[in-house]
Amino acid sequence: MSTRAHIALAVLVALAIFVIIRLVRRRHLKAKYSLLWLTLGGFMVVIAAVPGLLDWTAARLGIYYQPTLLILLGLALLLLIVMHFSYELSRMENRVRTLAEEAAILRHRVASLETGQGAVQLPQVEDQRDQSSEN
Amino acid sequence: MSNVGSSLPSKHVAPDRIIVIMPAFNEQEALPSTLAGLRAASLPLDVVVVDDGSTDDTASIAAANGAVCLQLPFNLGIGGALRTGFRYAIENGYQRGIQFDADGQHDPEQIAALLEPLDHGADMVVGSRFAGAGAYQVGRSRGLAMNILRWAIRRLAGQRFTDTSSGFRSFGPDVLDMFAHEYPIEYMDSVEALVMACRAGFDVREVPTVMHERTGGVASNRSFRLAYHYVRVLVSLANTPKTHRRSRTAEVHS
Repeated sequence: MSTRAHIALAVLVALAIFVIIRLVRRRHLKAKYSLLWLTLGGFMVVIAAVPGLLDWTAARLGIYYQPTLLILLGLALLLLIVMHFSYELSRMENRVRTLAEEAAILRHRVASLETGQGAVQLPQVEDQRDQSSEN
Repeated sequence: MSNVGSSLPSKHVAPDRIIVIMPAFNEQEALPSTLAGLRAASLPLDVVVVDDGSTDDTASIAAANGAVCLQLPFNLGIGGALRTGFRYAIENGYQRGIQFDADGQHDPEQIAALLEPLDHGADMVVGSRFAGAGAYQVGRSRGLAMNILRWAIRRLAGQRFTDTSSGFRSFGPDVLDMFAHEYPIEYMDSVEALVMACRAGFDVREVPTVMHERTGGVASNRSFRLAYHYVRVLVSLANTPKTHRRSRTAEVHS
């Protein structure tokens, strides 16, 4: 890469890192997600700061067109980040569903307590299941 | 992950009471007659209607007809509605549960037949439309799809079922507990739940039942959506883990 390209890259990366840190400080971004992006940023900084690094690594790996390496690595990292988001999203959905179910049950419980009648209109008996559903 | 019943002191019902879990999404037309039918049945039934984010009067009609109504804040789909019902059953100490459709296609008179095997070691009983009783017709393509699914299920469950998608089922305490914690949430949940119960080592049986045509509402039958879910079910079925439960009296039966 030319020196000019390196400078342009360095400026872009610095800008990106600045934005990420700002978002974290304003609590718009959770620290754990910022780490992902900062890793990506740090990785780009190294490439921008050490001009010969990309060319050297590409040559070691037998890649003749150096930018391919950059794109490959960037893509791999982005893929990891997206996979992580899918994982987080699944977990969030599970939690939201559980909360919705809990809300429905509690809503009924509150309503029946307010009207002074239990959820079940039957005489209560001794614990049949005891603590079996604990944990 | 989810702590069913651990955060609150649970109420406990009389051990002979049976909870009827009825997921309902915009079922205001069918509900009154369905609930009336259940009231007329000579069994100790308590009905919990899980209103799955209906936009009509499902909730008030359910309450007016003597059912407990749990209102979900938004639509979770039938699997989520059922799991809510299972959680309610466990939190209130029910020992036996029935899954019953709100649309009136199930016959309350058949509940006794569905409960009977639970007294003889079964953990879960499926009311089958195709095992002899009644005359319930399905289309040809649907019939073929069901056959393929049935084959896959037979491989995975290690057991033959004639009706894998029936939503008319009964459950013993252990299955209620499992489903309160974990129940398949997407469309065709009934198939996945069946395989889950079998692979968990529960004694799952089938009894013939008669079913009516739907009395109200529209069955969800959009074909491309059906195809998507069909493939999804096959994939997720193949990924259902085989878990071994510690001690059950009946492991396998014919």
